[in-house]
Amino acid sequence: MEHPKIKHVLSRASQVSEKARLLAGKYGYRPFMVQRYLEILGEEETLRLLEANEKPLPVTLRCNSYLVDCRDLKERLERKGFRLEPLREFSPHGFIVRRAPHPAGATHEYLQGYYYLQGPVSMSIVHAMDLDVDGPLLDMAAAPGGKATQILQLTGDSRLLVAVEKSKRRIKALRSNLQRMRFKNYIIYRLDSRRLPFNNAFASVLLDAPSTGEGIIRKDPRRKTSRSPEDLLEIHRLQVEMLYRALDYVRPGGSVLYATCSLGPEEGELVIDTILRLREDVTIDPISLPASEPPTEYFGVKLDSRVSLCRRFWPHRQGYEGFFACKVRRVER
Amino acid sequence: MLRPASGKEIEIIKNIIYGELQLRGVDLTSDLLVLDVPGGSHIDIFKPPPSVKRFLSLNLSVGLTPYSLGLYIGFIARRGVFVPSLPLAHELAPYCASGNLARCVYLPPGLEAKFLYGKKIILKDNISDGLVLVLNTLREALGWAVVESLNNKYGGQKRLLRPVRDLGWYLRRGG
Repeated sequence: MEHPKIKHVLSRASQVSEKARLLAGKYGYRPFMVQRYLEILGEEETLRLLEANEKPLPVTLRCNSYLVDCRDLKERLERKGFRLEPLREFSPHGFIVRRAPHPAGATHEYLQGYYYLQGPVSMSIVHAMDLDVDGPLLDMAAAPGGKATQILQLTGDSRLLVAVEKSKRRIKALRSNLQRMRFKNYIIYRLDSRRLPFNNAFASVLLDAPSTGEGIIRKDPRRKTSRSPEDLLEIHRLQVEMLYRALDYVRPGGSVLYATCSLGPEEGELVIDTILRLREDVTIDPISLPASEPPTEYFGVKLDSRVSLCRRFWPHRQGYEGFFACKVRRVER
Repeated sequence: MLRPASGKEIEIIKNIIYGELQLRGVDLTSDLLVLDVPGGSHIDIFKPPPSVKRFLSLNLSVGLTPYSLGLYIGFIARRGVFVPSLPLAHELAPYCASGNLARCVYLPPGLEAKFLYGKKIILKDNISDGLVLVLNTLREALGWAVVESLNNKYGGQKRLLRPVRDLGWYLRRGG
């Protein structure tokens, strides 16, 4: 499964202009990536994006309000020499670490499960998910557990979360984080989440899909060059398949929150457009996130107008990770 | 394979939790599930909350084995020794203050840090040998340890706290 125009889009992205080649050389990217930014943002804003991606992401944490009062945690860490500032725009439990006498992932409070180190945008995504619903919840690509632990935090560990992860290495971190943060209402399965035998079983689903990670170049600059257009095509196909299956797992009337930490429309807008073409039983819900409206035209390909209800985070606009988020509802017939 | 704990396995766990640790008035050994990997060095023990039990019973026929679930109690090594988990330490910590759990040792901040590095500690507490739940002065669980008596060269005895599993393990195991 893929978007009917994905190959056209990738072919256009590979026809690199002199401007894209120059910028790619200057900032160390593969030229096709910069060509895509120029297509979406224009020259001036592309420059701002490339500059923003040069700055490392600040350390940010999400307080585990299930275990600790967040004001108490702030005071406790500040007594140890940390300085924290709230990140209220992204999550009521988020803090930016302005000063750290030692790594924030090595405090006794961290070991007690009182917080999780998580990017601001990443911690905002779960707030768009339908959690006040009756029935089990599903996280389809759950490791290392940032969003899985946040789902259980926001539900007060009162809803069952089925957390699925394929990777043998990453699933250990998922288990460790769920245990460290002291949640109990979960089942972890290790398998490819496209193969789950649970159709119509879940009230709400989160699919934070495997991606190129183009949105976290500030955290891992290797991602400027680690993926080719062919990789992008493979990842796009995987994402479409996973979202298609996610919509089988959710009960009619329920929703799937689809997210990727990527800047590329191939992994966001085109995935949603494909699903809207493939399935008649879905629609898009508006979501309230502090982000931008996504593009609905890309290299001459016009997308379904409902794609504009999704949201896109840009490092140079919102200030942190690049992300795409969209709430897809399976309508009752 | 996920299966209910056998009578023998429950006895092993009871001997530690109610026998050695002297927990009173708390049910931790009903509805236990065992994750048994053929050829594995141990079996993992879990206590599922009601919603987890319900989901598992509704989906018995799908043939999927969970990787982990609910409250992780600990593991039983093939030689029959039960090792309690860190989630169990957190679960039981409130019972030290309430008096339901007798074998608790409190460490001041300096020794807390040493314990979390997995180091042995010389104890001043007059507590008998065996397994104990270790806490800090804020009554937060730090892990499990064994108290051992050692004869010193002057003919006296000192008590050593040897970590079995401490919270620092979350960092040392790398994730």
